[in-house]
Amino acid sequence: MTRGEFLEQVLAPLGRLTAEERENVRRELEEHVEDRMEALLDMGWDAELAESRCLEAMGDPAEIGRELAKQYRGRGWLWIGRAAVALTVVVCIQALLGLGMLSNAWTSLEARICPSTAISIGELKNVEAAEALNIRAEIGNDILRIYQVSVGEKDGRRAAMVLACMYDRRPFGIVAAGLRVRSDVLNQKGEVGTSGGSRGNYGAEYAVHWAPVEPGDTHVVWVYHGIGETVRLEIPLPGGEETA
Amino acid sequence: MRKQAIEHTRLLALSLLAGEDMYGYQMIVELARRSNHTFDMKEGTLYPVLHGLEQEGFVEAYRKQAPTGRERKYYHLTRKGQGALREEEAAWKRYSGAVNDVLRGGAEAEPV
Repeated sequence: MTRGEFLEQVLAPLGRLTAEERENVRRELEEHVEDRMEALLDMGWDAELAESRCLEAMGDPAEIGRELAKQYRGRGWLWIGRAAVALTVVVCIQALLGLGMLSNAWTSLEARICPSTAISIGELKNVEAAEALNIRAEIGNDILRIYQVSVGEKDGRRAAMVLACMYDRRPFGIVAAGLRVRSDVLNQKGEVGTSGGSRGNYGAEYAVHWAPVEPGDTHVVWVYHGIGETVRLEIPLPGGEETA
Repeated sequence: MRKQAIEHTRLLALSLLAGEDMYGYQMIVELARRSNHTFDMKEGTLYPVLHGLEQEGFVEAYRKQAPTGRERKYYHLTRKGQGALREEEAAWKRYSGAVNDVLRGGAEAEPV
């Protein structure tokens, strides 16, 4: 048996290893034979005899290969295990996305941390003043949050625009439907304004309302008609105190 | 018997590496020297043992130039490997102690 044949036999059962690992095994065993050969050649052995003696001292190449293969046997399961975990994560994310749960949770989180003002774009002209607010009211399991009021012009009249959102107290909870239709905004004379856009999902709802206001007005009132309860929130107008 | 031989080779390999980092051929030579050539194992069987220890994290391998001037794959005993060595050493001492006890008992019983 030549050195090459010996190494071939060792490597034969190591198909599970990467090309680099197989090369490392081949190199390591070859280096061992090289060192042993050198020792024998130094002692005056004939090269051919020395190689044959070295390979004999190494033992049965098939057995070395089988024993080496056993050391890497657990790795197939390791990779299968990792693949299974990755697949489960992907499937779970897909399922959550499919059920809309992630986007619900995201909208809910957004509403409680930094509610979107994109809902009001382009609706109010000649804006005189705008103010961020944080007026919250508990309604059942939900929180109604008034988060912005602006004064400007809508349809040729001076008007206050109020932005509100509503979300369940729990981040994965489902908010009561119909914030826009359940709400009215009244000016100081008791006139009911108009409602505008709304958007949302099970996580949170947004609504925008307008009410006509006069220069001397200091506030408008957001009225929410819940099931069995009506909540009234007084909303101070920006710059209202100065003009009052 | 084969399994036991592998276990013994593991213990010997771990204890050789406790002294210094070594490469395979160096370990075989050192083992023969220290055991006065008692452990006449097939040299290639050391490698499955070393690779198994590496897979278990008991040893780490790296390449370095040997005193011969050639680059060789050296093995280093890890902290985890040191723990394994202590455990295997203790198990071996219990085992060999028990064998000695039996042998002593046999020797004492003989004259009766």
